[in-house]
Amino acid sequence: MAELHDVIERADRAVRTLPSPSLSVDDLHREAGRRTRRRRLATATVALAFAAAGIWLAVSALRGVQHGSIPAGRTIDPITVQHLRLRWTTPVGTVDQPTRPVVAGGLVFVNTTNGLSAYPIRCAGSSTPCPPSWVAPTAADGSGPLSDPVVSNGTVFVVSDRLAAVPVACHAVAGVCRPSWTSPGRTSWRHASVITAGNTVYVSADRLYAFPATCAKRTCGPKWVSTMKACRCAGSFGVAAAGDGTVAVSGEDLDAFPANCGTGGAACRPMWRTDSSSGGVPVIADGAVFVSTFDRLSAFPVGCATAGAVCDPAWTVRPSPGSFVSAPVVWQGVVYVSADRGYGYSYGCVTGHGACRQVWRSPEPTSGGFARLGWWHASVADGMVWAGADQLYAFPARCAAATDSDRRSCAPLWRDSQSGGGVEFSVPTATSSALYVTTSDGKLLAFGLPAR
Amino acid sequence: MGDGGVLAVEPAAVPADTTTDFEAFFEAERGRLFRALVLVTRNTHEAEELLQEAFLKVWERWSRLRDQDPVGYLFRVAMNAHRSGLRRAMRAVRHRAASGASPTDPFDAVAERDEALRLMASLTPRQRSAVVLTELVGLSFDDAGRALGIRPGTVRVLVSQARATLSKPMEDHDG
Repeated sequence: MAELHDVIERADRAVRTLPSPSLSVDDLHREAGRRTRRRRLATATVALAFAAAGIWLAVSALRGVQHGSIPAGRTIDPITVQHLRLRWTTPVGTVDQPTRPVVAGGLVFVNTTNGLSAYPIRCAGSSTPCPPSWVAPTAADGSGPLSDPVVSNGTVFVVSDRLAAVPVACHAVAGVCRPSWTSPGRTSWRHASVITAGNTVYVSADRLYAFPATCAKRTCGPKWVSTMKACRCAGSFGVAAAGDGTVAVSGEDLDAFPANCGTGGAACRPMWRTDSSSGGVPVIADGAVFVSTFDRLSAFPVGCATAGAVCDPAWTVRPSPGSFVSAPVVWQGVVYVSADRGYGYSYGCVTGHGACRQVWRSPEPTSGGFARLGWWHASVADGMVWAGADQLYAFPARCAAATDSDRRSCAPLWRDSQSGGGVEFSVPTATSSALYVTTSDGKLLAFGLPAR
Repeated sequence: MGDGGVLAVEPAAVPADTTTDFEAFFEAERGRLFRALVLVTRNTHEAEELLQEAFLKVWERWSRLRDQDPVGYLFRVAMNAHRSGLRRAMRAVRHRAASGASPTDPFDAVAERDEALRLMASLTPRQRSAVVLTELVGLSFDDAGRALGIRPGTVRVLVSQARATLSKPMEDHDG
């Protein structure tokens, strides 16, 4: 038997035997200066990009430049992906957390510290920076973290201190696009995230706010607001997932709300909640809410309780060894998640409400020079898991090369050895003919297949 | 990450007496915060990353915090940063890789032979955080709840659970 206070005191004495941290006040000065310089550099880079945009547009008009380094007509699939190459790249400004690019209307949208930037999907060669076609000044003060943009029905939504709706087909004036409508400004929204489902835009901030996806006025209020306050988990105010008529918010615990909870700014109470620790990024798919935290991946049935009751998970799996270090991604009945330490493996797990069975994992770090994946930002499209980890990878979603029926080791179909180098990637966005990703050192990378 | 990462002041613009105040605060709290973070994270590299992040946040707000409760804010920022640990863990890995540091953590060697650290490992991360903040750092349940972003009652429950876990016979922990 052991007394708590006695244990903690003995543990503290043991930790005192470790070498003291090397951090000094001088180190703090240097790091503070470095961050300031980095932010200034980002601002200068975007300003330069604006200047380049003007020049480029003028030259294009005069010379009739034909764009299109990513040839249309070739489709990226598990066979052709091995030929995927970097086609062009352009600076978008350095950020702590790169935001996911989204594609709509022939444009790639990236949320930058200067606002929502729209780049043409067909850009000049890889040696020439690609200026944005236009920028919507949505960021309140240029500070981050920035939300990932989301697209719904011809509108791009981003959130900084307020929700901004920017038309995909924007009639920009002098390279500047004005949002068609915004929500009232709230300073407490600066770490918020935004998602869309159906005809609703959800902002997960200090509370969960549900806005109409379309609004005829310049400023629009929410349809409903959650009664609970989210905690500032993961450096943000919690993350929401929407689907199957339910929206789930991860905070101190996981709370699930009906998607259509009210109108006119009504207060909305959760249908159910969990009493276990959360803070992970939830995903709704296949009638369940999946959430991964350091020590577990759990699935909760969407309709598992009512009237705010506590919901127990349908199943929980724990990483062995290591910790889960990514949000789950679900595709066609399989949930993909990455883990660190030991193996650095990532594995798919068959969804279902009764159990979870591991179906594959990436090769162990020692095999064939394969690096430890650790954290990844992943998405699934066209039968491939796109993962930004130490490099960019494409894994087969179905892992057809499996050899072991229980724990199949699944090698990547493609990886880009030129990317990486200590940068952090956004969640990659794959279309049928291109792959887009942003990096923490301030670049938008566009990959495509070479011309036949 | 965290509260934004924008520096409100540049180091060169900070008056000398402010710097002196901060240095005294830094020296007074550095060791205690580091030990607390090592116990919570069980990783010295990650603890050092969190230590820097927390002191940077305090530094940029020092003119406002110096007359308030910088210690509470420091631990709150550190624990907030720890909760964002999914990314931070990866950064720590990258930092080690970039600096060429040994992949082995000195904590692992100490933890292997120290019974108290092995017992602490049997607690969940949330229980460990609650116990370290209340029993080691000496925060109240209210302050620990603020630091962890949870209700004071939840902190109390976590500490009780930790006490119950540690009260089990040793063989249960071993195995």
